[in-house]
Amino acid sequence: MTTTTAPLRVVVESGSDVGALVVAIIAVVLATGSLAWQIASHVLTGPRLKARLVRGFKVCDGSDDRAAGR
Amino acid sequence: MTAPLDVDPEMVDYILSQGYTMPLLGVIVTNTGRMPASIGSHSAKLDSGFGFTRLGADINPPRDHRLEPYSSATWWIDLEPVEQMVNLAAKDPRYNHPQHVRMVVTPGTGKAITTKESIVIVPIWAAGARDRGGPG
Repeated sequence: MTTTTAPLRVVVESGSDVGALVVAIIAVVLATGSLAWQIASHVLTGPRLKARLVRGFKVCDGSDDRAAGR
Repeated sequence: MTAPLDVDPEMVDYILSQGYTMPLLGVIVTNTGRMPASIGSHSAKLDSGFGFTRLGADINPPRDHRLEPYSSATWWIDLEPVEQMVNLAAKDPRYNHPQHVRMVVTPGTGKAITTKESIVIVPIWAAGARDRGGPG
C-alpha cells in the first residue's frame, strides 16, 4: 500500500516543476521578444538622423540684412 | 558654393577674391529613418565648450524645420563670427590653442547630434597662426 502511493506523489510533484519551468521559459521568451520587437520597430520606423560637416562660401548680397530688417 | 573641408588656404583666398566673400560652415542633416523629424536649432561648437548660433539667416530652413523621411537639409553659419569666437576664447590661456569646430543640430527629441568631422581654427595670436580652417 505504501509502495503504491509514494511513486504517484513523486510523479505529481515532478510534473508541477516542469510546468513551472515551461511557464517561466515562455515568459522569458515573450519578454525578450517584446523588447526585441520594440527596439527593432524603433530602429526601423523612427527618424534616423545623420549630420555631415561641410564648408561653403556665399556672395555677400545683403539678403541676410534684408531678411533681418536692417 | 560648397568646398571640401581640407580646402587649401590659398584656394580659400582665391575663392574670396572671386566675390564669394562670406565663408560659411554648414551641416547637412539627412533623415534615413521612416518617420519625420523636426530640427529645432543648429550651432557651431568648440572643444572648449564655447558655441555660436545665428538664427534666421535666409539661406537656412525655418526653425523647427520638418525633415521628411529620406530627405536632407543644410544649415549654415557664418565662419567669421566663429573665428572671432575662437579668438575670444583664446583670451583664456587654457583655450589659446587650435580649436576643433563642429556643428551641432538639435532635433525635437532634444538629443543633440554632432558632426564627426571638424575643422581646426587657430587663434590669431597663437604662435604661427595662419588658418582659415583645415580639417580636423
